[in-house]
Amino acid sequence: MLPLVRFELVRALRNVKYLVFLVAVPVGFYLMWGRGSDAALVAMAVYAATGGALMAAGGGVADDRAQGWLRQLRVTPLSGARWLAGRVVLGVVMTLPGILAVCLAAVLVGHADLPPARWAALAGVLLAGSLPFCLLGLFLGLTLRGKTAQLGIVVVFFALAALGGVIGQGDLPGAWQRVRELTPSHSLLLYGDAAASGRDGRSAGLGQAGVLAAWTALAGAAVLARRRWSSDG
Amino acid sequence: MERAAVEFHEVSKRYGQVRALDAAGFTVARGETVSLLGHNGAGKSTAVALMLGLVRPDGGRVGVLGGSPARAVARGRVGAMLQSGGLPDGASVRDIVRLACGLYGGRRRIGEVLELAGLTELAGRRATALSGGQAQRVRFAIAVAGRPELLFLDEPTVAMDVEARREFWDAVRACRETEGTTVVFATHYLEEADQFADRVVVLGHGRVVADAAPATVKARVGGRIVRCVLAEPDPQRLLALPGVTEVTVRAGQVELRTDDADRTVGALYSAIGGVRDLEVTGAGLDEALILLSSGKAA
Repeated sequence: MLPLVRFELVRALRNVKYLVFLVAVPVGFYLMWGRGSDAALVAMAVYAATGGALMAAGGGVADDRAQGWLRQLRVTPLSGARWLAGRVVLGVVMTLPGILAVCLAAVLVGHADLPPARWAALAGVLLAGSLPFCLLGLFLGLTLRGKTAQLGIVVVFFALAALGGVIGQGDLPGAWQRVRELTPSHSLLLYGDAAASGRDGRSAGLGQAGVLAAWTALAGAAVLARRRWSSDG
Repeated sequence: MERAAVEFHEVSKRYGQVRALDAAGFTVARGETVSLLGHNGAGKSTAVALMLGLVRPDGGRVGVLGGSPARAVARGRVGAMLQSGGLPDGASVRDIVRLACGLYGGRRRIGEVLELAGLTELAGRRATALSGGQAQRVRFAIAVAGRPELLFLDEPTVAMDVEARREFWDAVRACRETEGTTVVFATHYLEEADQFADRVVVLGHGRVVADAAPATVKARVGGRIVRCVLAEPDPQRLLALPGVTEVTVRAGQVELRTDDADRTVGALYSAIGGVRDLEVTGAGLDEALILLSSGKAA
């Protein structure tokens, strides 16, 4: 599995579009609108983490399928299970450039001044919380075809970011606010805020942990079902 | 002593209404080079997919290196070049070869594999910027990165020109000679089968229609077809012409199968005469296979 992760990391880091979208955009947003605000720091770090996970784990999978690359991999000793695990590891690792860049911008330009323990807690929350996004991205990559897959991942990313309150301000009207509380991006945002402000994660509520766990379980099951039925991967 | 490299026992596989393989059986001994020969749709790729565990047979049994195909693949004892396999975007040739070496647990060095597949000069190139023949070499590199005991090549030279083809087979031969690799390759080029295989398994409509030495198969399916119109064709006399192995006459239209077209045509003019609309064509593999399937040439 490690050779695969290494291979995919090199491939992902060479992809300029991807780096712009996941590193430059959240850093830019932070610098333009959120300088000095810890809430903006957390929001943009969540942006980078969820986007990085969705795209690194799932982006390119549709193309790899279409081009027969996955079929080629299937006749090497790499098992399907280890391929899946590799994609998830890749997704989690690829959240780092964006998270680090946003944090660095916050320290250097936004004068964010968190104790080391809170930085660590924030990074830990984001890494762990990126898991459902990895699985979701992987499911989209295994299900959609060609350009639709890339587009689908971007649409899902922005939908979750907007619904979850990662981008945009204030509460959503009426029932939408209740929908917000069911999105994994919103849960991650609440946990991130708690970590950055030094509050106990439990202040975000057990319900939010349940939301993240449910998304992880659902997306994981969807990925496994998709793997089982697809003959082209 | 381990059993045969490949055992195909009464194997059947259907895709919906299409019967891709129909109780096909053959074996490949260790160290042997066997060609699966047949036209498109004869079942070659299905046979390769079964031997790699990519699909399961509906009936019969497939054994590879004394176990299941999936097990042989998981252990890295098998290398394969698939017709439907492709290369990824955004990776260089070296990246891909490094990955392949890593997946097989470092049994060969990257430089060694690049050299073996003739890719040393192309190592820095993006895989998607390669010509068809060069891309095939990368796929070959992946296939041999693990020093496989058994190598499957599905239509390996299909995108290559003559020169590339020769270089490709030189590389395969090098593996065979230095490692004793067993090679199974699918092709629809009779010549390729003739030149590189110890034995040829001919598939037609999902069945094994011949399993013999290349020379034998070539004699059966090779040769030429001579067509002409004669005023009063006499099948007996035509069959006695030099080289002629088979005669078909339909309303003055004559079709001769021959293994020596020059002498047959010469004799046609000198001994029979009155020849019109003469035409000589290669006996296409398709026709030959139809003949073989129907049992006429056996």
